[in-house]
Amino acid sequence: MGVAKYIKDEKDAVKEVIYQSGIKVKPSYGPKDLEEAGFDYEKDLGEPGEYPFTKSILPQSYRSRAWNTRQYTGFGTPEETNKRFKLMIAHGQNGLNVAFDLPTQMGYDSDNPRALGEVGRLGMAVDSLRDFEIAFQDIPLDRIGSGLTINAVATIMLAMYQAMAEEFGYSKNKISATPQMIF
Amino acid sequence: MRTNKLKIIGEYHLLSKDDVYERKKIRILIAKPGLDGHDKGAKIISLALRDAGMEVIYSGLHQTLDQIIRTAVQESVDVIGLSIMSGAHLPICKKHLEMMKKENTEDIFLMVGGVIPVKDIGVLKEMGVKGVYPGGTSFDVIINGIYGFLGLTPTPPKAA
Repeated sequence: MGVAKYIKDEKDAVKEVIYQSGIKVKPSYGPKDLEEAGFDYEKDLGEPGEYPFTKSILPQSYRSRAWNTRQYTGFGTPEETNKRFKLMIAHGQNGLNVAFDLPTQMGYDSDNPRALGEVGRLGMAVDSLRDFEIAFQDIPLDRIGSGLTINAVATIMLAMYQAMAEEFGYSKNKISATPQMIF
Repeated sequence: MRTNKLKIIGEYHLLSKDDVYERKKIRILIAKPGLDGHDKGAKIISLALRDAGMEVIYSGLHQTLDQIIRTAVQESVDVIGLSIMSGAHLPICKKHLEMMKKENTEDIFLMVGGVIPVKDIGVLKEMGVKGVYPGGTSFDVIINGIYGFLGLTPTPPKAA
């Protein structure tokens, strides 16, 4: 038992590898294989900054723009989280990565019996739009993009983020937020 | 209400005063209370306890304490092991012990493992949690701990 089965030739060299899922692959590939597969540089690889973006999403990649620095942050109440956001930005972050507590991540209110002991524990608790407004008070949302580490309720949180930003006077083409899924 | 609950006395399980049964396997429920979805620890400890000769029931994720206690009663377990990574171990264990008292199931022992800060170990033990096993505890310590608080001496598994 192993992750793959190795088929060997008479000289005991590996000529084929079969993965557990049954997919057969060669031990290694070269230019001849690309030719056989009908490889098209324009279509399959492309230039940096162009579809299908295999060589970077930017023409000059991260030489032209530094990547975002955003540490996973958020705990307790929206007020505490807001303080923390400001501290992180003061220390040079150019983005935020918002940590929500487990009840928020799973779509429970803070007063749900299932939320016992978990409110504000692994991130901030969000029960309403007001919590978002407090957490992002005085954050320059046109300059600072946000990653929202949020699971099943991502659509709701993204909508709340937009509603909050518009309330603060940022038009929706000026803001950016990315929902992501972790456990 | 529970009936026919096996009680461990010394080396034996007693069904009632007169029925002395041969020693049975320790039955244990490993459960994931609350909303945290990190179950690798619970699954690994389930396998380790199984290999140590116990009968292990694993609850699956996101169980309420009600569900856990009900499962424990229905499965006639001797021990419940809660696996908690979310930092909610103190309120969860407190509520769990209160509910066990209310349900008159205090003869089922409670142990807890997961991300438990050292300063909370004493608090949990004082509360009535029999075994507290933070991440990094060796399986031997946990297995011997279970035999210890059940008042049993481990018997080596029979050779196949």
